[in-house]
Amino acid sequence: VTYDFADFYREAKDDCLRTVVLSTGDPELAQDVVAEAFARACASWRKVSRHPNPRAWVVRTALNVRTDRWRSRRRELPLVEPADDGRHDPDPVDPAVVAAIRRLPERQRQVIALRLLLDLDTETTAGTLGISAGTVKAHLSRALATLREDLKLKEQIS
Amino acid sequence: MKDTDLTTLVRDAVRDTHMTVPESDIVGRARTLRTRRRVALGGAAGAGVAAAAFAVTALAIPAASPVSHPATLQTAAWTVAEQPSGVIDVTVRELKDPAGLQARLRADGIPASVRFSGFNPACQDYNYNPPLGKPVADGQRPPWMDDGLFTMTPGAAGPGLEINPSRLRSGEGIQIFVQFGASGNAFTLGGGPVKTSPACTG
Repeated sequence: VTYDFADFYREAKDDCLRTVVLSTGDPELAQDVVAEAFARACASWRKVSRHPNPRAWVVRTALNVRTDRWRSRRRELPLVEPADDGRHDPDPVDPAVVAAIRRLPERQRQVIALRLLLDLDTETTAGTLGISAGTVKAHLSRALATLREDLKLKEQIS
Repeated sequence: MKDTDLTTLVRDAVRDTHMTVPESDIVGRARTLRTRRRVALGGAAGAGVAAAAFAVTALAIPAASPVSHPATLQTAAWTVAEQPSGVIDVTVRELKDPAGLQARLRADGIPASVRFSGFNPACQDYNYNPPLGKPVADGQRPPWMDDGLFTMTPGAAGPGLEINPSRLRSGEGIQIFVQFGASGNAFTLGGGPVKTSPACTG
């Protein structure tokens, strides 16, 4: 069976983007780095198509691209007052849940995203992030506990 | 709250997030990557082409070229001013006319790409390319951060940066860009060294 890149892109693009959005908290940057990761997958499709989990490969590559760009661009300065010229149209997300996820440490966000959005098992998640399976379990457990507590508090307040 | 409820909440949080980049753009970028790979693997002939390209860049954009236009150009959106030392001050007040700012910087001898909406996807970082698919170690600091090429300045009139063209290395340009936060109501101005190329720095 030939697994065509076009089929892969169509089926995997949203899941990969959502995983990276959740991991990074930045929808616009996520579009950019996921597109670059898919382009690299396409350029090396013969190899990537044989990867045990091409979606995980794309997400790992996107996170690396993002880290690379972040390192190169950390001289950014925040502007207090935005100049909204109407060209920015971020994807809609649930602000309460996203805010709760964003408060998690980055590694916990990545574990949550890979486990819950890409449905990766513990071993594959560990391999994708370059950490041990035990660390994945610990991060997932802590992240879920924190989210549960955070969102429960919000429910009580509202 | 059960784990299944939490999982549903997390999934629902991003369910309306969709990849908007068309497949044709991805395939086009992949074609470029494959071409570069072939050139890189092309041996002596490829190296000759690369060397010639760098030479043309260096001749076309000399670091100390005389500036034939006024030392300061101010628009409503931004100001570019050249100090006597040759350092270029850029101040941004509004996210308008990035093409004009880009043209002015290039006229000042700086191979530049300016975008006020995300990054220029044609630009490649000048330094530091981790191998594909390999995790990168934390705590690394690219050498360009300390080389004085440019400095970000908060400034009362608006955020800005100082660019020192004499610090530009062969084949090096800069990218100025804006990143928006997830909420869309805040943004950051940034810059970084990039490899010069017709699609990136002109």
